Amino acid sequence: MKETPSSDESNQGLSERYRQASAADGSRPSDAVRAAIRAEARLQATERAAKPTVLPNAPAANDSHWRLRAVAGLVVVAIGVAVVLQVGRQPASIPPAQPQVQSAARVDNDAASAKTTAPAVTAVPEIAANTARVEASAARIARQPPIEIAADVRDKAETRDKKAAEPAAPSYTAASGAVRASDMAVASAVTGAPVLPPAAQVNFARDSDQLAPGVPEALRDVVVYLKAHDSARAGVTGHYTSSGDAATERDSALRRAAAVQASLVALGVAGSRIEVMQPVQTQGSADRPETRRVEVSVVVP
Amino acid sequence: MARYAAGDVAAFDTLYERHELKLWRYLQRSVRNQATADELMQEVWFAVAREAHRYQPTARFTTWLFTLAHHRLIDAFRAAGRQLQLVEGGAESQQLLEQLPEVASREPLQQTVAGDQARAILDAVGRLPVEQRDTFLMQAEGELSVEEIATATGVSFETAKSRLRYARGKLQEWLQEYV
Repeated sequence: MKETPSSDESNQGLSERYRQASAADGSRPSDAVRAAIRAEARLQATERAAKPTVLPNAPAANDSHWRLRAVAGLVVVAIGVAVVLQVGRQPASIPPAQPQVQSAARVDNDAASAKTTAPAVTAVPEIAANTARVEASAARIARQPPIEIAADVRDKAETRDKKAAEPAAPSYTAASGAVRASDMAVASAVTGAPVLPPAAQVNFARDSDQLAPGVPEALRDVVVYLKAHDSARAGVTGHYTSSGDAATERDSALRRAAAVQASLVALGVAGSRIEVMQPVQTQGSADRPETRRVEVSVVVP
Repeated sequence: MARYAAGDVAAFDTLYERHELKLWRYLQRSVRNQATADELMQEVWFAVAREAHRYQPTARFTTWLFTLAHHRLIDAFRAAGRQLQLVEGGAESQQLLEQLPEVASREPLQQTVAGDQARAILDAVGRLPVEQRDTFLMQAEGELSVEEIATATGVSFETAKSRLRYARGKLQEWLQEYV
C-alpha cells in the first residue's frame, strides 16, 4: 500500500505524540545500572590500554560476514605454513607468511609443526625469519578472546583462555559480545569476589537515618570488590522525596548517606576511598521507599 | 565509538548520554518491567563497551545498538519459557506476552484515557503485538528507517514495512476510539 502525503503526516503526528508522551513519562534506568555501565566502560578502556587486543583485519563486531573472513584466514595461514615447510628443501627466495589468522587453535597446531621442522631450515635466514613471524603471530593470537568458528576450535580456545585469563572472566561470543547476568553470578560464585564493579542499594525506614539490621550484608559485594581493587572508589548517593520541604529532605538524604559511609568504614574500607555525592531528588512521596534509599556505586578510574 | 575504542572514556559518556533514554524506553516499553529492563540495559551497554574496539562504521551506531537490544529482548522472552509465534496479527503472541511473569497490570484502555492522552498512547503501544510494537518502537524511539529495522530484526523490507503499517493503523484506531 503506497503511503499518501496525508497518511505520512498522520504517521508523523502519531510518532510525535508518542515521543512527547514517552518523554513526559519520566521513566529511566536505575542509578545503579547507570553507574555500573560507566564503570564497565572505564574498566574496558583500562584493559584495552594495558594490552593490545586488536589484530589487523580482525572481524568487526558488527561485521555480518565474519565467519567467511575467518575461514578465508584459516586457508591463507595453512598455505603460508605449507610454503615455509616446502621451501626447506630448496634455496629459492621465500614469500613471507601471511598472518591473517582467525583461529587460535589451528594456528597453534601449525606453529607447532613449523617449530618441529625449524632445526632443518634455520640454515636459510629467510625461512627462520618467516618461521619466527608465524610463531609470533600464533603467540599473539593465543592471547585473543575466543572467536566462535567450530565447536572443537572454540573448545580449545576457551580452555586456553581460561588458563590465561582471570579465573572469574565470563565467556561470550564475538557476535553478541555481552556478558549475561548468569555468567556474572557464576563467576562470582567461583571466586567469591564480584567480577565487575558491583552496586548496592540500602533502604531506610521512614523518618530514619539509622541502618536496619543486615545492611552490612547488602554492602558485602561492594566491600569485597573495593578490597580486591585498590584503585576502585565508592560513591554514596542519598535520595530524597520531591514532596515536603526540600532542604529538610535533602539533609535527611545526606545523613542517610553518611550512615552508609560509616558502615563501609566499619567494614574496613578506607574513608578516603568513599565519596558522598550530592543527594538526588526522586519523584514520589515520602511513603515510597525509593525516596529514602542510598545508592552505592563503584568506579574504577 | 572510534574515540572510545582509542581510550577516550569521555567519548563513551557522550555516546551513552545521547542514546540512553531512547534505548531505555525501547527496552522498558517492550518488557514493561523496571528490573528486567535494567538488566537488559546493562547487558547491551556492557556489550558496547566490550566490543568497541571491533566496531566499524559500516552501519549507523544506532542501528547496531538497537540490533543488540533486539537480540537481548528475544533472548529474554525465550528465557521466560515462552515460544513466541511471530506471525502477522499476533493474537497468539499477545496472549503469550500477557502470561509473562511480572507484566504490569493494565486497566482497560478507556479507563486510563480520561484527562490523560499521554498515558493513553503509551498504554496503546503496550497493547500491540510483540513484533509490531518492536517495529514501532525502533522507529519511534530509535528513529530507524524501515530498511534498518528490517536489518536489525532479520526480516525482509516488506515484512518490516507491513509491521510498522499495522502498528500505526492499530494505534490510530484505538486512539480515535477512546481519546
